[in-house]
Amino acid sequence: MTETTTSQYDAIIVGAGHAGIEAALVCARLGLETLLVTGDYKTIGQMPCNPAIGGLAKGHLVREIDALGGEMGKATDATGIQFRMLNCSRGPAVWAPRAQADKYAYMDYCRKVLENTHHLTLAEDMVNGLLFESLREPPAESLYHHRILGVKGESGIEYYGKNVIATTGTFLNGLIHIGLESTPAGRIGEKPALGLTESFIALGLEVGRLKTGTPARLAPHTINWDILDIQSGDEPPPPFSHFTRKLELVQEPCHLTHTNEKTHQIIKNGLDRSPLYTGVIKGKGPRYCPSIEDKIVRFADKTQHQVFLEPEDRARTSIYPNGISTSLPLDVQLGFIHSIVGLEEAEILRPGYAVEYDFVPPHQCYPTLEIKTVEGLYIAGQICGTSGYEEAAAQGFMAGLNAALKLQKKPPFILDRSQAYIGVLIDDLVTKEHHEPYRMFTSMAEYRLLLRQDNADLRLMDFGHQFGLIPDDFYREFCHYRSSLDVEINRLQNTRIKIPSPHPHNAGEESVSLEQYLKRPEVTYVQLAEKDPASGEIQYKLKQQVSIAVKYQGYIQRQITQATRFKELESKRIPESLDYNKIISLSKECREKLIKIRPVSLGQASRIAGVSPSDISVLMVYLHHRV
Amino acid sequence: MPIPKDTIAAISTPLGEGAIGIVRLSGPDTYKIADRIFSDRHPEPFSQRDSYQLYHGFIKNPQTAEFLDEVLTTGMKAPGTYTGEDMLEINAHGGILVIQRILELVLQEGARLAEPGEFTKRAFLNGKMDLAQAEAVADLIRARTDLAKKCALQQLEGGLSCKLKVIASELLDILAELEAHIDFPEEELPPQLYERDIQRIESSSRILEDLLLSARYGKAIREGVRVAIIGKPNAGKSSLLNRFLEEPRAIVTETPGTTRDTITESVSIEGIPFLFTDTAGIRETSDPIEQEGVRRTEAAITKADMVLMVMDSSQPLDSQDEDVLDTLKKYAPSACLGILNKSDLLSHPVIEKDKFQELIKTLVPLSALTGEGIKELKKLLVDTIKQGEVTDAGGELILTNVRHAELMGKTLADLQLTRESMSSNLSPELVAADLREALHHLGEITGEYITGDLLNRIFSRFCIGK
Repeated sequence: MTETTTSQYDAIIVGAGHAGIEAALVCARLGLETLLVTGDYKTIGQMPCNPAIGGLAKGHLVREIDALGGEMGKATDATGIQFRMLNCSRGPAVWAPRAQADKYAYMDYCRKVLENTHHLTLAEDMVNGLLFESLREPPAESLYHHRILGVKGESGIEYYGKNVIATTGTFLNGLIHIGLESTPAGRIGEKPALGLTESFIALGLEVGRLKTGTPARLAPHTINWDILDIQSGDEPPPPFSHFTRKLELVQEPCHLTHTNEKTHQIIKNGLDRSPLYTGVIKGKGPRYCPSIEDKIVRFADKTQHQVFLEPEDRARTSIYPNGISTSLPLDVQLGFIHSIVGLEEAEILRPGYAVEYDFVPPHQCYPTLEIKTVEGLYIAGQICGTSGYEEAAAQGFMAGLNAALKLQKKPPFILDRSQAYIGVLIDDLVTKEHHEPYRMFTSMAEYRLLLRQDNADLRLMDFGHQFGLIPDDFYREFCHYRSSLDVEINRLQNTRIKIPSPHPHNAGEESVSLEQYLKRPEVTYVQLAEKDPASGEIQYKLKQQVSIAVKYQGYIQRQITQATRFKELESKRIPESLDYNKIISLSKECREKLIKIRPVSLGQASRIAGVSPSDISVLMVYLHHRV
Repeated sequence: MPIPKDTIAAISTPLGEGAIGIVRLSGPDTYKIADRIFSDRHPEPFSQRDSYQLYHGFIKNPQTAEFLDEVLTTGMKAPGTYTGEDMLEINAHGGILVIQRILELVLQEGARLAEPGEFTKRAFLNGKMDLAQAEAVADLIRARTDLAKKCALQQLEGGLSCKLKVIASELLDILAELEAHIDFPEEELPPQLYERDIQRIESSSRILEDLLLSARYGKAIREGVRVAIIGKPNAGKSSLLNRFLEEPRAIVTETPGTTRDTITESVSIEGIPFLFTDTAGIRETSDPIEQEGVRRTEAAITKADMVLMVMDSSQPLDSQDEDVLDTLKKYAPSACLGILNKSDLLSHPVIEKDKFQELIKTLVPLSALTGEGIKELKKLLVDTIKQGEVTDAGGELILTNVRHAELMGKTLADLQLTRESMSSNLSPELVAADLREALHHLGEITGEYITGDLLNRIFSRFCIGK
């Protein structure tokens, strides 16, 4: 029996992980009647891998989501148990906030926020199919062949909606491996999502398979903490959210240990029962997140690997050993863990495992994350082939926002590579072909020195406010801060101080502006305040931003020039319905790639592998003559 | 889109040299034209014949039935050709006149005369080559001497791209290390050693510097070196020029100058084309003409890459010499050699060298009459161009393209910055910004996005990840 919900939603979000939460919140906050369907109400906002948010590039993403009005930064601040700013010994562009979260508190926080959001309905059901219709007459100048109508759940209920955002994580035909045993599951102990992949295939979409993994969880009372090195949080703890003025908490430490040659020998002896090395696992795993067996095989000369012991919650009910992700059989897992200093007696609460799952290669999406051929269907998160909570949240936010904007007949919101890590992430997803789970790195951002975590608000908060996601009073405060930056720089330029002349033959003093003085590598506001008391009165955030602007002016200016150049090619649009087969001068390989990816601009086209500069000139000439 | 729809043709061998010349066609009507003008014992039309096969036959004018030449022709079918289009090459044996008539015939039958570099342009538009290759081919078209052809061929075969790839790979390795340290601060990575990186960048810079220095030489090879021979009448300018022309094989072309009274002769010395402009023939009988002589000397100096000031070393400087020296002083050309001619007349020249030594650094005693000193002068000319930068063209890569030279200059400046950033111990993301700029400029030369495989390098070299 098929039941139908009486109401038709504006947006249905499938999955309540980090992508689904942001997507649902942004849709509902923009006034869309939104339904969030989750397979298990108890696991909303689950952190199935390490209980941490942020890090390099990922922390940047969270700051950006926050500046746009997303939830992840606030959730982390509310539930974190340890906060650090990574890379503080380096320049500000690559500082990155990272936090250990209490994963249970985090889930609780997310569920409550969802429950308290207007226009948002929650439902517990396992979605096992998409409802859609074929378009007999596709709209002109568009690629749509189908229109989404809703989803159906295993309960038999059909949910109707104008937009569907699929954020299915690792659940699509999920298959878990522990040793040579494999079990259908989305995460350990949770049912996989069956049937949905078939819907994507029925829509004519390409589907691929990826793999990821996680280590065993350990029982804290069986670990010999006393002999392990401690890694503590920063004091004061640096918050994620622009809205958090100050964090007050007692921070929990992490501990550090190492594998050793005995560990490696045990692992080597177990390789004949590894699903990775016996060919049982077909999906491609990420190179940046290798399992411990992978590390030992590929880097045989390393005699040890570090293992961080991260508490999963404040109560320390379980420990996540970061660095020893594995899919070896349980007896091998136990064996090698016991060979590690401090873990000799450790008990495994839950074994490590690898999971294979289906994904929908995102080159089939517009930069809005809407599927090009299916009107109203969006994908975000691991279904797009990414890894990481932060990457998922960023996509979920952008997919939800764009679904809402489209429904409100407003132009799409697409960030480019010079504006935000979010822009880099989504451009990479829709432009390049991916053969392993995609993770964000700062090295992927060409304009890294501009895309800092400290200026996410300056880059993006105007947008957030424009969408109604940043409260007016907070925005006014932000605008005041922004204008005081110019005031302060002006003050530094126009205030002169006397400093001892650096030239030994010139025994006197010389007069420099505060700006010139601050440019010196060894000078900070501390030294400024010694010469100029007014500089001591400047608030921390302002000081930090002004120091960066003054000290890195040359580098920043250079990247601004580069970004301007980049935007030129980016602004040259390619019509959606362009028939590449008519451009005979394109090489065959290039034509195939262009037809596959269908770039929206010459800039995007130039980033497709296999498209050469000569192809771009041909395209440029062709477009020029066509207009 | 101006997708080439017409068929182009050109003589693709240098005019005036050799007995064999090639007329080349490219475009959709190539075979139609071939079938009309070429006949042999095979009945089937060209479109049905094998690609890259030589056919022996005759070229006849189909309208007049006139026989033009006995030739070898090769058809090449699209897309596996140089331009990506149907192509035909006609190898004719009858010398320049016959080859020109074959070209005229082809044009009469519907082809259009190719613009300079148009074959290459089509190859480029059809995706047959990358930017560096296309530009090297463009240089090849203009190449006038064997050496220039050799240079252009080297680049075409990827000599330049190959050398640059080695440098790019080295720089990418350094960048991968920097990036690994930035993105994975929690990993136990081997320490970044700027001192070692500086050395690695220095050796890459040296290779680039060599290439860049050769750019000047490359321009000389491609465009020829303009040498003005100036001096008062009877100083021996014409004799000097005749000395240069003595070896008959050295003569490439002889073209009248822009005025009746200047002559430009092209002479190849060690493979470099030198274009000598002789201001001889200036008649200095009355004042107006004398002014004309000064004007021509001025014109010759301003157009020249190098100036040879010829003086009679057997006499003291006279007012005419002074006039020429004054003109020279006015323009102060960077490369100027003083020729102390008539060294055979006196064992001790009476000319007052100190009067012009400020102006002319290098003096060459020589006798245009006996040929003594000519060999030394030629060597000096070549050395001045090479400036000791490229010792031997054999096997050495020579940069013949201005755009390449410019980008390489930028790359070098970026690498200099990178080294300075490392010396000042700047944070790796700033050093990386400098290094990325260098890689960006390097990539522009071959038209590739070099940093594409950066992640591969990071993950294959460092054990990274939780």
